[in-house]
Formats: sequence, structure tokens, C-alpha cells
Amino acid sequence: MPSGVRNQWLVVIFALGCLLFSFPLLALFNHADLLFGVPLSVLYVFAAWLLIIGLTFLSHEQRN
Amino acid sequence: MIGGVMIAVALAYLGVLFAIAYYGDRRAACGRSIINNPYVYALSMGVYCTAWTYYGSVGRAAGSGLSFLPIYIGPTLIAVLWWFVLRKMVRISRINRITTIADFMASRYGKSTSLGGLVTVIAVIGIVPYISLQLDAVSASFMLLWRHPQATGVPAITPGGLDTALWVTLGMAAFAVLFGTRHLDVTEHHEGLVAAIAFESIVKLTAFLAVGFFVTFVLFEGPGDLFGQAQQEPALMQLLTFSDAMLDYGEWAWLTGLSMLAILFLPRQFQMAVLENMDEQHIRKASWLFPLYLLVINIFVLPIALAGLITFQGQPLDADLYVLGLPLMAGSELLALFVFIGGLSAATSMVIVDTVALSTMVSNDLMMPLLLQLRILRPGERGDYGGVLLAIRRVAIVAIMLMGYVYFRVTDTTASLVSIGLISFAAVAQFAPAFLGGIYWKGGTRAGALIGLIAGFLVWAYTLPLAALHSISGAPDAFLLNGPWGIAWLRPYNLFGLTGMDPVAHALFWSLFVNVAAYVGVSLFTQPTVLEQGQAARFVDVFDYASNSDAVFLWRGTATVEALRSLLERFLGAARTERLLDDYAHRRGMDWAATQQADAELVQHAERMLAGAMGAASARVAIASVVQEERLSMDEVLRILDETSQVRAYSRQLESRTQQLEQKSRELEAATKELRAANERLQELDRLKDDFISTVTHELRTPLTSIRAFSEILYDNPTIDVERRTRFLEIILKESERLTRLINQVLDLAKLESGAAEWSTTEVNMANLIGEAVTASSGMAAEKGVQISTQVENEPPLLVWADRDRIMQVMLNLLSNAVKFCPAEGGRVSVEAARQGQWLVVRVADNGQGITREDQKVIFDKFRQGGDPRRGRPQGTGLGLPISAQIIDHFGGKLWVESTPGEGATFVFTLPLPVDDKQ
Repeated sequence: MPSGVRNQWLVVIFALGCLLFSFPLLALFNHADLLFGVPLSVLYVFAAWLLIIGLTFLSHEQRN
Repeated sequence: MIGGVMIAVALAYLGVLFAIAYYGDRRAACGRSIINNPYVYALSMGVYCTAWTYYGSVGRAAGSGLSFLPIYIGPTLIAVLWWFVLRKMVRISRINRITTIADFMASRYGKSTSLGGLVTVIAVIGIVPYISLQLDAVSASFMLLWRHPQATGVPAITPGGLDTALWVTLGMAAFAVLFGTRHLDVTEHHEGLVAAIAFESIVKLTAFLAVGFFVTFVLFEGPGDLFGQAQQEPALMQLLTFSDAMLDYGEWAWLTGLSMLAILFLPRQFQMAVLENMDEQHIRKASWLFPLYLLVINIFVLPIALAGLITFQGQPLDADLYVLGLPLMAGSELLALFVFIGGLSAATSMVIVDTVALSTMVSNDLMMPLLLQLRILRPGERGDYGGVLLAIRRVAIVAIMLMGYVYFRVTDTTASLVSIGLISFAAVAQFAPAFLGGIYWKGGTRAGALIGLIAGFLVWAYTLPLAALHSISGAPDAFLLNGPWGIAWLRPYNLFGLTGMDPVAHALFWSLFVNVAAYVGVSLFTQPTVLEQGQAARFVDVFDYASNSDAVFLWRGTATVEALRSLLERFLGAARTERLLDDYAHRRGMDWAATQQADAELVQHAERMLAGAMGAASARVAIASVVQEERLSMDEVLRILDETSQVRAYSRQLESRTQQLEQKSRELEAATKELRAANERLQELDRLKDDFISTVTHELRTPLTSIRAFSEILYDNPTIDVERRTRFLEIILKESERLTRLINQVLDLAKLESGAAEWSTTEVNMANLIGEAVTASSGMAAEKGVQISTQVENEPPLLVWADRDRIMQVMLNLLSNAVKFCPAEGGRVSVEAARQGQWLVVRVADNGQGITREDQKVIFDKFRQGGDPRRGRPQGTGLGLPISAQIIDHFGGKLWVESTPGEGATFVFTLPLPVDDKQ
């Protein structure tokens, strides 16, 4: 990936992360119902977290 | 019961740390670094996870659910931007030989000793609560194990009069002194330290995952069971979600933002991420590996907290100790011991790195400048100051640890670990405006940074630690409730009447508000000094400078080499000074014996060397003491900066021009090569053409000569008899015909070769064509008494796409050749046509003398005819076969000859049949 494009991606991922971890979206998933044995709220936070890590991984490690 | 074992294991663990550090240093000395890879780099950042994470997160989760998480989500988010921010910090620090975060700030704002000192004071005071947190956690976990099976978490005074926490404090201080001050120079990487910290990161992660797994899957039957039980209890259920009040979301956002700043500006993070960075490329891997580490270490926090709440219902065990309490309760003492070691590793890693960073700050940015400016140390005098630096650092470590202990004793011991740690976070957040402004905004001035920092720090101190001191017994006193002297708008938790925020968010808001306002406001109203402007440009535009070699020399002055040398010797030692100076001379091709006067570049170099040991601000003061400095005027500075930027622009232009030229020259080279090849081909063609012309003229001359000879005879002898005249005229006629044929064929060949021949391609039935050709040749054959037989497989019809007249030309040529070479008696020519796969194969065979192997090679060349010249030339032009070969080649086929001398010759040609021909 050309460095200019990667840099833009990083900014986009940061913005996405800020959005995922703030009020309206957090409230959307704010339920204690269990999904796979884990409350939805907890599942959401960890899934979003993993998503941000994965995207950062992709934008840094992808060669083309 | 297991107390003795516990102490032995803890000491053994610390011994292992020493071994790893020793090994790391040894490897570094051999030039085979074990830390020069992104994985160790990312692990060493795990120093972020201290006893706070290890014990405190569970306590926080047990009290307020998910709000333990923003502390780890903030770093994850900022890690996405590390490639911009952290890389810039690393680059600046390497070029300027930065030793601490205080050094960084001082260096940016004109190597200001006052700013460096202020940052040091704030960092030390700000980190004290954080240290006390570690002491609290370690002593509490120690006591819990020591007193097992009596479960209680409150550390108590031991019979000797000294309490556990003090012992822990002294033990850790001794360890930090031994471990952290082994070397003097702080710009060289602490390879052993980093290796040990990376190891500790692995230990604490493994221990925490082990206890998490044990609790979730052994004590309970997996997360489903655990969360299911929690849902039965309304009190526990609350922990799994945010309350609907906006307070939760607001607090979440504040904590996320705060931890973003903390991960950048905590002295220990700055040490690991910036100063110990070996390669900027490592930031790439670290920016997803480190967040992954944080995620993994947090997976079991909530399960442990819930398990603790369910298991210890009604018992007086501090939630911060559930991590240790649960395995103890289950009777798994070995696991408990491992958990204790994990907690110890979390605490020691923080204490080691923070004390190294803080003690370096105290010695380089606070004490040294003071000692130099107060003339207590005089660089002009003899003496070794390296020892002084080390002594200052050791005293500083002990002092910082004792301050942590005092804070721990004085403040509310029932406060949770996280709430103590957040106070420190808010303190280091005060660095953010001046720091970030310093690397992105050239307009920030020293005065702005100083006043902003002081203002922010004072508000922080008033709203957080001071307030904490006033709630010692757990109940807020009048100072908190009514404000000082009853002034309500000065209440520390409700400054200016602001309500509805939790104390940390409240303090952070006000402190950063005044900090930013003062920094920006004062910066806009003050003039930066020359040095400040130079440093601002070097920091903000760091990526524009290729290396420190084209640093701007905003300095002019004189010094003797001798004075510089003795100054360096005093701080760095004679051997190192010698080595550094020799390196420098070697690179510049200088000779010290012949150099008396140091130029600006050497002075700057010496200052950087010195900065590596004592920080930029101190180095500035020390250098100033031996150098006669000339102050530059603002005009001169602007001119120098302008020139430098012009030179940079020129060199950039030159570089791109050079690249263009290189590109051009490569293209030229390729074109030349092509031209040369074309030229060679042309020369070859020219030679061929010359050959051709000489051959053609030779061939033309033969018939012309005989025509002319016989014409002359007829002309000169009008009385010649009729019979001879007729024979001569016959010869003239025949030779003229041959001449015409020759010229026609030459023209034909020229057309074919130049590609100018016209082709009219149609579907040709080969059986018909062969029949016609044989008929046309039959006259000539009969003349020579030659029999022609044909055998054509015309079922299905042999249809090819070709030019009928041209193929006919080929057939006639082959037939006439065959007839020509037949013996005078009993000549036979056979023509066969058959299909072979996708090919039509036509064979024309005679029973003549055959063609020798040598002749087979040349008969397809122009003007070459087979046969023995001594036996007379066969009739023909020598162009028939080359023309036929060209025609067959044009339609995608091949023409060749098969012959055994004495047994006749067979000419074979092939033509492709249409692929879809299925008839």
C-alpha cells in the first residue's frame, strides 16, 4: 500500500475507533443479554477493540 | 505458612531479572542485541500495565463495571496514530540526543533550564501517587499471603514497629538503585533493562491469564455460568452495562482521552517507547501488538471481578485483592504464589522504569543545572563529575520511593488503586499542551509553556491530591464540602461551581483548560528567543532534516579544543572522551594536533555528547562556561534560517533534477542500444544487397553477353547462311526470354521480401490446383520423355486458404525443377498430396541424380543452384526455390527437400488446413 494511502487509512481507523467507543454506539449495545455466554455490552466493546487492532494490523502489514 | 517460601521465590525472581539484564547488556556489548526487534519493543511497552492493571482493574470492575476499560482503549486508539506522533517523537529525540521527557521539553523551548526543572518537579510529584499505588498493592498482596488462611487485605504494623509497606518500599528502592543506576550515560540504550521489562510483561500476562482461566473454567463452568449467575443478582447485573445516566458515558470519554495522553507522556512510557526505540520501523508492529497485549490482559478482568463478588459476598476482602484471594480461597496455594509473583513483576517493572526516568530527570534537568548555575560545580576545575551524577540519581530514587511511602501512609488507605493511579495520569496530562504544541506548532514559546504548565499543575494539585488528603478518613471534611474559608466556588471537587462530573474528569477539565489557555495565550503575546526559534524549527520540521549533520548553526563563538576536551573528560571520563573525539576527527579528516581553535560544529558536537549524559539544558550551561559566545542578532538568525531553507530547497531540486537526468540517461542508453542494433541490421542488409546486386548483374551479364555476341556475328556477317542465322537468332531469342524471366523473378523476389507483394487469399482446392499444374507441365515433360503421376487424397476435399496464383507458381516451379533434373531416359515424377493432422503435405519427387547434403543447404539461397558446375549449368535462374520458399512461408507452411544422392530428390511443402475443417 502506498504510504500516502496508508496514512489516510490510519486517520480513518482512528476516527472510526473514536466513534465506536463513544456515546451513541455504546448505548446501542448496552444490554446485559447473554450472547455466546457473554453480555452483549461486553461483547461489543471487545469486538470493536479487536476490529480496531485488526484494521491497524492490516494497514501496517499489508504490502500491496 | 507459605510466607518463607514466598519471600524466597520473590528474591529468586528478582535475581532472574538481574540475570536477564546482565545478559542483555552483555549481548549489546558484543553488538548482538536481543532487544532490536519489534516484539521486544512492543512487550517493553507493556510496562504500562502495572499493579493497577493487575490488581486494580478487578477492583474497579467490581465497583463500577466496564469503566476499567477506557484506560486501555485510549492507548489502543492513540496507537493507531503512533506512526505519526510517536515516530516524530522518536526522530526528534534521536537527533537531539534527548534523555528524558523533561529534557525534551527543555530542549524544544530553547534549552531552558527552568522548564526542564519544572517538568521534573511535576513529573516527580505527579508520579508519587502512582508509586504509592504499587507499594499499596504489593504490601497488601504480601500480607494476604503471609496471613493466609486469615483473609484480610489491610496491611498492618508488624511487631518490629516497621510496617510491611515500609519494608516493601525499602526493598524496592534498593532493587531500583542496584538495577537502574548501573550505567552513567543515558542516551545509549538500556538494553538489559528493556530485556528485563519485556520479560516481566510476559510473566504478568501469563500469571493473570492463568488465574483468569482458573477462576472462569475451574471455579465456575465457563463464562456462560459466571455471567448467568451474575444476572441473578440485580447488583451484579448493573456492572455489566452502563447506567442510563450520561455520567457514565461522559466519564468513559474523559478516561479514554486521559489515557491517550498518559500513554504518550508518562515518564516510563516515554522511556520505553521513545528513548529505548532501536528502529522507527518497530513502531509499525508495536502499534497493533501493544493494543493486542492490552486486550488480552483485560479479557478475564470482568469474570474475576464477578467471581470475587459472588464468592466473597459479605466478607471484608478488598476487591483489589480478588485476583489473589480467589486461588487462595480455592486452596490452590501454588497458583496464588504465581499470582503474587505476577503482581510483583507488574509493580517492579513500573517502579524500575519510572525511577530510572525520574532520577535521570532529577539529576540532569534539576540538580545539574542548579549546581552549575549556583557555581557549586565549576566545570573549569578539576574533578570527576560522572560520580556526582550517579550519586544524585541514587539519592533521587530512594527519595522518590520514600515520598511514595509517605503518600501511601498519609492518604486514605482505603482508596481504590485505580483512583490513586488516575491522579498521576491527570498530572502527566499537563505535559500535553506544551509537548504536542512543541512538535506541531512553531509559535509556542518558553514563557507560554512555563505558565501553562504551572497553571495546569496548580489546578491539578488543588483538585486532586490536595482534595484526596482531605478525605483521609473516607468522609469528606468541611474543606471539601464547603470550600476553603467557606468559599463555595472554590470547593476542590466543584471548582467554580461545576457539578455533574466525577473528580478526575472535573480536575482534568479545569487543569487542561487553564493549561491550554495560558500556553496558547502567552505564546501569542511573547517573542521567542533566537535559540527557541531554531529549536522550534528543528522539532516541528524534524522530517525535513536528513540528519543532525545539516543542523542549523545558530551559534557563533570561539573555544579552544583543550577547554572542550577537559570539559568532556570531567563528565564522560577520559577514555570515552578520547574515543568520541577520535571518531569525530576521523569522520572529518581532522588532526587534533594541528587544531587549536574549535569551530561551531565541534562545539555543537561536544554539546550533544554532553547532553547525552546530563541533558540538553545542563549541557548548554556547561558549554557556555568554557566558550566565548557571540550573540547573534535576529536579522542574522533569520538570514541563516533563510539560507538554510534555500539550500535545502536547492538540494531538493537538485536531487529531483538528478533523478530526472538519471532517468533520461537510462532512456538514452536504451535508445542507443536499439539504434546500434538497428544500424548493425542495416549494415548487414546493405551487405546482402551488395551481394545480391553483384550476383544479379553477374547473372544478367551471361545472357546479355551471348545476345550481344551473336548479334555482332549477324551484324558483321551479312552473308551468313540461313540455317546458321536461324540458329543464332533462336539463341538470341532464348537468351532474351531467360533475361526477361530473370528480371521478372528478381522483381518478384524484391516485392516478396519488402512485403509489397499483393496477396489475394481465397479458398483453394488443392486437388484441382495440382491437376492444372500437372497439365501445364505436361508439354515440357513430354519433350523430355518424363512421366508424371499424381496421387491426391481428395476425400474430404483439400481446401486451404491461400493465393491461388502464387501456390500455382510454387507447384509449377517444383514440377519444372523435377522434370529438369530427371534422367534423359525413363524419367518419372510423382506428385502426392495428403492430409496429416492439421497440415496439407504435398510431395514432388523425381528419380534424378539427387542433391548432395551440401547442396541441400544452399539451394534455397538466392542464385544458388545445385549440381556440379563442371557438368554444365542446369537451366534456371536460381531464384525459383527462394521465391517458392517465401510464398509457402507467407501462408504459414514450410518448404524443404529430402534427398539421397543417386536416388532422386523429393521437395515437400506443407500448408495449414483450416482448424474448423471437419468435412
